Amino acid sequence: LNKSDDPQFIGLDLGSSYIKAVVPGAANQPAATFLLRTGYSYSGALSEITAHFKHNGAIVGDNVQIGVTGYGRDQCDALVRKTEIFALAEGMKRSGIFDATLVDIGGQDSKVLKIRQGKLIDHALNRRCAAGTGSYLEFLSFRLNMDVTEMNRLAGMESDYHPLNSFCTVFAGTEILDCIKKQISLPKLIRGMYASVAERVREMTSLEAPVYLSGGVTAHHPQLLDVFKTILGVDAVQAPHPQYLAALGIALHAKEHYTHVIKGENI
Amino acid sequence: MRRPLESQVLLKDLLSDYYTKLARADVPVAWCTSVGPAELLRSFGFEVYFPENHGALIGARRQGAQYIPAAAGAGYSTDICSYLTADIGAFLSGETPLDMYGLKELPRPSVLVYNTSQCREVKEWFTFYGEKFGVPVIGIETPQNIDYPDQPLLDYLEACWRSIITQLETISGRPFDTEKFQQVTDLSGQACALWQAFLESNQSVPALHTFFDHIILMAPVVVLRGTQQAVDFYRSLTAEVSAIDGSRFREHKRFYWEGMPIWGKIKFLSTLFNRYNISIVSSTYCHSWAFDFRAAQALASSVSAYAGIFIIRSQEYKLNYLKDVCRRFNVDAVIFHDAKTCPYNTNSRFGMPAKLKAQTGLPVMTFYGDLVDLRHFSEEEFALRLEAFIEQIG
Repeated sequence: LNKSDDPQFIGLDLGSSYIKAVVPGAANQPAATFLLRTGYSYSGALSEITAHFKHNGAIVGDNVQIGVTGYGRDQCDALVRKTEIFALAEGMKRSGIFDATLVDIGGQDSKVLKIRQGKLIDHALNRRCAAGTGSYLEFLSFRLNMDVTEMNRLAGMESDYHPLNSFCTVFAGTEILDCIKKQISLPKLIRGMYASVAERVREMTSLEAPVYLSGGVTAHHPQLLDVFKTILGVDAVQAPHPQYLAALGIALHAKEHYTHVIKGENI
Repeated sequence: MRRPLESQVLLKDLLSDYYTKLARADVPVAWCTSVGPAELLRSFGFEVYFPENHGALIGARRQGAQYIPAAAGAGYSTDICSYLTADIGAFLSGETPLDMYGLKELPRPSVLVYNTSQCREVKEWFTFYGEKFGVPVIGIETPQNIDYPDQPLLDYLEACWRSIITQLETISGRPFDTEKFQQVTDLSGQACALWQAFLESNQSVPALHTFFDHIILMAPVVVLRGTQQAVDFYRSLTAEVSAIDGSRFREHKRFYWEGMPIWGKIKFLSTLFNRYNISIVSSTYCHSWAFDFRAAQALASSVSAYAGIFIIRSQEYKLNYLKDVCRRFNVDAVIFHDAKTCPYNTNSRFGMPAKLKAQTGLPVMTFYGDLVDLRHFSEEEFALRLEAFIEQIG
């Protein structure tokens, strides 16, 4: 039970498509999570998240400390504010993974982090382009009039794939129309979309083992792991709490910051 | 905190005089590339105008996106140099940022002289204007990827220069004046030496000035080299800098900038780096105008100086240069600007950042942008990259 004067922590990952929120619990695991679409008002979203966590009992009392990361990190008051690259590395480290190549595929960008002995030693971001990101798959799912669960299911029915040549998301949509005319099978076509995402990641930097995948795209399209293995030859596994990893990382960082810096305790 | 250098005020007057003079109809004007044979042109009595400077001005006024489509519509791809496309687009639109100096249009050239020692685009660029104005376009065709400018190369280039001299004698109606050329070369040499000394003064820790000062203060060594005004300006700058007490400047890290400036984002970038107390202490770009001219061997030293610039050197030379300059300026990290429309002044595309990192241990960051076309640059993306990079290196 939380004593009412003890602070509780919320980690917020204010992403381009979704806001991910985590209340950390025992053993660095999420006690509660919440996901909502990124709208116009970050402060409105924060009120909604806090109300949600209070309603379900994850947060008790008013002493709530926020750690914030993601594109909207400058848009709300917080105890700590860090980039999602930092937060992802924290999430990995606090999940007990100290050596990894982490591929995070988000709504508008893809990131590759290299973590050695618990320290972030390098990172890469995709070029200023939606290809290979969640937006790319969202756009193509709209073209196919298909939800992501169905896409993932169909991709699992094939080991072969139809390569898509277009870098550009919009032109890939046009190419898909051509594939439909040629009656390319849906599983091959969707697997080709996943292959396109994986290939864009491979362009960013080298992927040394062990490779972990995180982000909303990974969480909702787990067939990507199989595509990484069969097409890139990269034996990737899903990172812990893939969609909430950055939110968890920043929540735990906020908690540590409060304990060490604000209260001055050594733990 | 660093204050803007007083010399920036002097610079405004100096550039105003320069452009006003170009506007006078009684002065013969030659157009020249920024690392072209400006000294030769001045020795023949020409005032010298530099289209690249015009492109940078358009960039600084964030007008690239306004003009580039006009050039693209005329057949000049948006993938080629955005100095070129912005400049030609402005010309086709009948506009120029030089209107702030009272010029309603570009100064009419008598001749256009290029040197491909920076890129091949300059030849096509000058050819466009040569056809528009109906004037001769002449140039020096310098090869790329030079490991070391050896004697056969220098002999070939000297022959090119002599051919240019012969053609300029015809165009200007004047004989080549060796003594005048030596005088102009001497003035260029003095300005370049002072510029180099100014840049090298930033080896001090904390840095006395930054890359964002340099790209403003470099204007005279580009457009006025070969004149007494440029020499006087850099003497004044040297005096100002020598009086600065930098000991109380806050400096968390020292970065090196490799690649082109982003002319339309100078304020954004300088503010951002300042926020983190990061000094960009040096750059390849600004050092490119530190030519070694010697009046006694005016022609030979000019040929050699223009053949030796960083942009046309081999990968091996460039890597060694970067290693040396990073050591000299005691830098903590290097950022590479991958400029979308300037492959020649982008050195991140053939593995250079990884090699530099492996051989020096310095952290490197590559970001995507452009010199003029701001559609290739995202403030949000850059801010994230930089913040994450700083978090990473501590």
